[in-house]
Amino acid sequence: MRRGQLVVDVACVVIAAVVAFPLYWMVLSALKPAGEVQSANPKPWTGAPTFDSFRRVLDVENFGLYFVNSLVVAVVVVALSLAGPCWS
Amino acid sequence: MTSKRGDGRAALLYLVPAGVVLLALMAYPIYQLVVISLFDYGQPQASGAAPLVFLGFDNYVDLLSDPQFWDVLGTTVVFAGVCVVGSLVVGTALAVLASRARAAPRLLLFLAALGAWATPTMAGSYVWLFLFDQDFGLVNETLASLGFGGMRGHSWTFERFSAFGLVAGEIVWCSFPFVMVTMYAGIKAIPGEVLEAAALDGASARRTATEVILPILRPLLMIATIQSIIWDFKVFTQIYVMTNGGGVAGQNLVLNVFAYQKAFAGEQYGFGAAIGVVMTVLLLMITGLYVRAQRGVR
Repeated sequence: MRRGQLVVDVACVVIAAVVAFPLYWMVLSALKPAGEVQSANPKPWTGAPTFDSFRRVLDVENFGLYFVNSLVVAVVVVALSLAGPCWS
Repeated sequence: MTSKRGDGRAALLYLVPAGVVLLALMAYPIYQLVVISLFDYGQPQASGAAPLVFLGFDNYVDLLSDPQFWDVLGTTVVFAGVCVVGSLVVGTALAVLASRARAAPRLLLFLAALGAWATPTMAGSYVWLFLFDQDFGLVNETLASLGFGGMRGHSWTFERFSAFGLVAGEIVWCSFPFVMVTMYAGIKAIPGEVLEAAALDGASARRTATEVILPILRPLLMIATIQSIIWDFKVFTQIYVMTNGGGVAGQNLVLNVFAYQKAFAGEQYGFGAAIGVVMTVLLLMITGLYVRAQRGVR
């Protein structure tokens, strides 16, 4: 019984790691310096993490505008879909 | 006390506001879609440079006599079927696993699954493409270092079934969490007394699973299945991004991408709208048949 529990728990953790790996890779790609994202020798870590990509997204691009756009759409949609059932 | 008829009228009155909103938001776009599908509607018509010509059902006749449409339809049905079965099997299996696991591993599994669920489709598709990249991907690199030297420079998206497999993997990855959370909630909601009663009656684990747990979960399973069918039949982003718009020579086209290519790349909005209408009707039919079949089982 106790060994069965251990097998279940280990399986759970391993599967969680597999499912989360692409997420990890996404975060890692965001932190890698520009030249390292697509390199002939891909590594699952980076020696020179940088926030440059974040800085570029937040400064150079119209991030604020797009964020507000998304926020407005989300709030309106949620409000309308909740209000719909409330009226009836 | 008011009469029954009065109650019904009041209830109807209460339903009117929600009904108006629903009609405006849902029926009107479908109405527009159907209208456009009846016209020869291209870029000149959209910009007002050419007069609108009413075609009647010509777009539909063209569509149904187009052999590529039937090819793409067949592909879409099989591909969506694989994705639906994949999401349901993985999601249900992991829900059972999570219900048996202790709190900490279960929390990890749910965090990972919710992360995959919350990832924007576009970002998820690109991350999977990066991982499976021909030259820069970690997967090929790892396989090569494990002794499969032939995998260096192997393209996962060049060959038809390999490309479909990769996209199906990404789709299952981002859609199994919904099934898992739904089924987990269902498993947790089964009253302990019912299981106890089954055990006291001497039911085997297998009979408990098939004749006690499954019937209780069936309505939830049905909702998860219908959701998955609708999502996967309409899949667009993953195919469009990961196979670069439908694969080599359109080998990975599914209906939604086909409609996009016709409507926007080919500027035949009327023809594209006809594909949309056919897809909507097909989805309604599939879902209806499925609901009826499930009612028969119960």
